[in-house]
Amino acid sequence: MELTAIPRAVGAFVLSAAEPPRAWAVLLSRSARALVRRPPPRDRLLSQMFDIGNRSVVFVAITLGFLGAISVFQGVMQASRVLPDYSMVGATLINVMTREFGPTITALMIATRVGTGIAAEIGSMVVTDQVEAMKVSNTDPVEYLVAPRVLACLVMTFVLTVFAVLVAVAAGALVGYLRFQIGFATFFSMRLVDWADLWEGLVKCAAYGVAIPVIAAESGFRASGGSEGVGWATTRSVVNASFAVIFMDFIIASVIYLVTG
Amino acid sequence: MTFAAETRNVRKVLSGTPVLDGCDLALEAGRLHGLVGAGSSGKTLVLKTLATLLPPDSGDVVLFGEAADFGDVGRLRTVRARIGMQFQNVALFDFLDVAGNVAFPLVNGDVPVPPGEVASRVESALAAVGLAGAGGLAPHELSGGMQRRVAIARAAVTRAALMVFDDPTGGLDPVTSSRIFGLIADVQAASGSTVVLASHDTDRLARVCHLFHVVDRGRIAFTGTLPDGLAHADPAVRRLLGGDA
Repeated sequence: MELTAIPRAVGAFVLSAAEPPRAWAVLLSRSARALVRRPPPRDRLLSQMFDIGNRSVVFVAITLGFLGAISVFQGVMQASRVLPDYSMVGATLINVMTREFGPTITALMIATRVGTGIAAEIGSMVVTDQVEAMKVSNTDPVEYLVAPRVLACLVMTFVLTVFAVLVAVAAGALVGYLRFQIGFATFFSMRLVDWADLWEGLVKCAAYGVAIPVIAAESGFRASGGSEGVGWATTRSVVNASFAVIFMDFIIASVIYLVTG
Repeated sequence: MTFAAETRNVRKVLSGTPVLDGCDLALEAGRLHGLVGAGSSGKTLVLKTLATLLPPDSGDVVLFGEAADFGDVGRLRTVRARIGMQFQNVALFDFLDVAGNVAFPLVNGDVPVPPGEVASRVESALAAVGLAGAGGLAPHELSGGMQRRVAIARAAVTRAALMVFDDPTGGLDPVTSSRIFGLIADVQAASGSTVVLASHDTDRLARVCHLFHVVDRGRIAFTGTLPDGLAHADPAVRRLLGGDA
């Protein structure tokens, strides 16, 4: 084996691992420039927002509703091992939902439901030459296809997260009341939620709302061949977007913890 | 003699295979050019290179007298405003209806056309391809021939100086094919644009084209009139133009 074989292999691995983030950064910067240069028409933006919200609302409600209910069951079970005081279960659920599970689980649902849709749509346009037809019609595909989806997804991630947190807390409160006789007044306590928690939730929403459509669109633009290529693009989209959400969750939570103590 | 578009010694390698290998093509302005070649000879790649969609690895693409700069997006957009293209697999936007597809280059270009003018130009483009009144239909509601006619209308609606048609009659019956070739010839005659038309259907091409170019293994093996091509020394050229090998 040559002496340089291992460093070359490591270098090749690093370069290949760095390629997707580089492509996301380029696409994000092009989308941001497109949004500033020529904001998308209102009807196209509203249609994208409706599409994203409509596609995800039931999915998010069911997932977060069950998550809220399960969290209360688990919380009560753990609390009862120490001392049978359930007064903090609601406050803890609201805190955790606001800063962590609300934005992150909602984003994972959006990555699954909306991200794959974006990747499949753009991917099928690539393999059927529609993207090239757009270019030859003097239209920038990033400006036309990606920028409105980024803005719409950013807005709808906030909206869906707020909705998801409300559903999760409501489902948790219902379980707490029906199964463990925790009163609503006790359950709906905001005493564990402060500005830092709200900021953490908001920052995560913004990061996920931008990252998901960019990653999905980039996967779509890489599609090649035929329907198999579109299938790969959607798979790559959901894997990369989910991984990015979890990674950003860790980074944002760590930074906010370091800043706020 | 003025050329609207040229490829000069263009070379392009895809997946390690040279698909364009010293391709020299010159399209005389205001003429209807037929591009002929065997399957996988590089016709589509030549057309995409002319439409500035495929940057060559080496060589020059000269459009309207200026070498295209594939690194300068602004200048590319200026050049593309003068090009219309119909793609081999039609490439109609499935999220728009027929009228929306034809209007797309007018509405979304760098200099959008006023809405009133868009409607009249779309209407006349659809009427020209025999689809007046079909503007509200979705692309999937149309037959293959109708979809190709919509694609022709979209390529022609900007009255581009260079129009590129890639296999506009692929998979169509002889009657529809003759009609589509006739439509393209009418569009060219009315606009005076430079038109290049790739097809395997040399019989019908012969009825409408002024000049022929034969693509063989990524390079132009012949340029000239059909009689000259049929008398060419290279049997491959004669065979591709429909003559005896």
